[in-house]
Amino acid sequence: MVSSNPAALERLLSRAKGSPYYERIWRTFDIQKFDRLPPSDEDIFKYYSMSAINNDKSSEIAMIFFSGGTTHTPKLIPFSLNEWHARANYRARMYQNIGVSNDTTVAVMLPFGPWVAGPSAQAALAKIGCEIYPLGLVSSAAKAEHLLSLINDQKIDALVTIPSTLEFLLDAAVKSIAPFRPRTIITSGEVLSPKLRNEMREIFDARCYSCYASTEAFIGIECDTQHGFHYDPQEVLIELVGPPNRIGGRKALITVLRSEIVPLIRYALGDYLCLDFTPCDCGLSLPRAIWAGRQKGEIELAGGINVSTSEIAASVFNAVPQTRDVKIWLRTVSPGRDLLHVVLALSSGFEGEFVDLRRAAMQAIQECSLDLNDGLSQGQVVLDVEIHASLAPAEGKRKVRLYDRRQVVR
Amino acid sequence: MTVGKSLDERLKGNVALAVQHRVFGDLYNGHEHYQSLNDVPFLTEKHITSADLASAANERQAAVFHFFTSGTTGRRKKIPYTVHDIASVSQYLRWFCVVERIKPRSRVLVLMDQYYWGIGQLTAYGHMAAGNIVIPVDTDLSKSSIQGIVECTQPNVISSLPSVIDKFLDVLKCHSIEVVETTGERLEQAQREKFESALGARVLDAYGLSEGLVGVECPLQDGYHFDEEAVFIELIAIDGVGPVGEQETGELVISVFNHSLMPITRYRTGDVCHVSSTPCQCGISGRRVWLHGRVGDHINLFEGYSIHKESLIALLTKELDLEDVQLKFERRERRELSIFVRPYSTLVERAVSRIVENIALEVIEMIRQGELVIRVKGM
Repeated sequence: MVSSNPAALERLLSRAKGSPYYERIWRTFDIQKFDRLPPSDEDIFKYYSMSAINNDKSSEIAMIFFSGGTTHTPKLIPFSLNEWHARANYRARMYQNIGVSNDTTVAVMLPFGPWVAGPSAQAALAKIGCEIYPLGLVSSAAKAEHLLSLINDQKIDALVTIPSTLEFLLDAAVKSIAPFRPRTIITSGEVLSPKLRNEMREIFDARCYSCYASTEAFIGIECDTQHGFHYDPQEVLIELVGPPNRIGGRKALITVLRSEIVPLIRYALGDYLCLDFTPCDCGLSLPRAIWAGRQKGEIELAGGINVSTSEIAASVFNAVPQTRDVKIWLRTVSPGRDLLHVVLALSSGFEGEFVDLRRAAMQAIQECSLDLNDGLSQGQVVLDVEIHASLAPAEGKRKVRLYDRRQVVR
Repeated sequence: MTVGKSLDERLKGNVALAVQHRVFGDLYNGHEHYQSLNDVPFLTEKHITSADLASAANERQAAVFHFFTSGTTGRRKKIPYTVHDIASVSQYLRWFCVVERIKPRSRVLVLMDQYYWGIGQLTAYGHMAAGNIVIPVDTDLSKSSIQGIVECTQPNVISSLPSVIDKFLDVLKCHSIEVVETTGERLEQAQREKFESALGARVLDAYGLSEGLVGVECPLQDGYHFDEEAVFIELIAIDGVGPVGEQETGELVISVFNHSLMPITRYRTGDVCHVSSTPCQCGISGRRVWLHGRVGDHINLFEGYSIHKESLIALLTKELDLEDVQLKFERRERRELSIFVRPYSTLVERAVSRIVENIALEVIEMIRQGELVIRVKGM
């Protein structure tokens, strides 16, 4: 194990001591055995419920955001001021590496409360000294047109946004033959497709830089060579474990060296990565993390919404126990908006009203994930459920299949 | 806040800053060393919205946040804040928590949009400055999501707009709530009673405008306490003639000391108020202000947003060279704004609809949700 910041790692491990989560999964907190410590996963957040927070370290918590979980048991992500500032400082340095300066006027078109993306980006831009316009997401053509006009009026020259919102703005600009002033676009939350990247370059001479970030951590950002995300090992330790997948990526574990309230140590993000330590043509000496896929069954929908096929299937099986098979179809409705079409096949012999079952399934899917629920409310995702009878027997293994037919695969 | 300086020094300091302001600086030119405050001209909404909306900061040395507010003249207003301004405003909001008797380390659910409009972020920063644990949540989440967040975080304080609390009332019920802090819109007495009954907590209203915070209620709910280190209040006669005495109603005029990028001095708010220096039983010293309504004829397009009729008519007349414009607003199952124009054509109809829809982001959202309909007809 190589850490270029052993002091920070020691501090982090000492914070983990006394944590009921780490006490449960680890037998040792010895830094010498770091690479043999069992990885942590999102179960850690179950140990940071509000009652646990109130009983322990509550004097340090300043803000609480959310990520995933169901609508009824959302996942709390608490921050102290120290780690909030540390995150903002790191993100700011990475933004500055691609040319964002205190002369830059930036619109932050990311989700805000209860999500961390918008506030985190804004805090980083404030550290740099930018002029900042917090504008939120776009999920309709009318709003896109209104905000595009504001962006041009206000002479905004950079955007920090998600690709779905960028698609809306691009569509609005093309349809109204309006200018598009921003020349620097920093994206996060969703995979940035080569198509969208090229369109922004060719039509508006705007350069897109994708970030690699989640609620749990800000990891890195692309440079002009667009070959991986530069990250600072003094801030984030990335380890690759397990066998390679079909494109050579391995399961990534991250350690966020300045995490405090929820110490993230060898945390499995669910992504596969490759790491490149060779010098980059851009001149930055920081290594690069190259994204190489996500865990099987994880879906990224428009708006940066992450949900898994297993979450959807579990909610459906619970709400409609007669379901034997679930097919999940993903299609593009319009730029920036996806259709989540779930088709249930019921076991043979079912006699009853499909309408009630459909309603139950719709509600269950809406509530299976806080992110998805928000995306549905905002109109970034459209949900449809279809029910069929089938000849499948009531017993036997259930099947879940995913068909991604979107024009832009995220 | 310029604590310790005399009021006169602070006002002169504000005027000196205001003279440099690119948007309304000319108004104050020559008044930096005024002999009498009455010689300093009034600032109105027209001064803030009439000029170009590009950054008013001539030289910037730190980050600037730009928020928007819709205004009542049909044009959006931009309200910029430096990091230092936000810190100053946060200190005033920290004082609000003292007046409201909010316990230290309270868990505060700030149920307000954290983007575009400033009120959400400023409230969140204010509570953080007061040492509270802040849970910022935008208002476009579903009820079930908000319910999940409330059940999970068990907030002691909910800070939100009255219309938002009304919308989510059934999912906000939680035994831990001690204070409901309302702001952003006029709080009606019927709403206060409804919220207190449903949530089992005192509802304390905070009064402010986009241009500046004014004050907040204490648990006795009798007027808004304000700190004269942060805001200076005057009342002028609604008909513009003669002084206004204690306990008499007049138009509220504010001068705000905690906002370097918008050094508001003698700003006519359009609100009808009275002021009293009678001490409050809560023990907080200083004057209090009571709000009675608005000056002039307004259409309350939806909660939290009213538009001055004459301003909208003037805007449409000027933009489209119309001979006559009349407005009719009805509120049935949904809100309907009928705009009668002369001359009428389908082109004019489209142009009028476009202008009105783009008055404010809120209008776009209300139309999209089917809660507001705009109809344009010929006379």
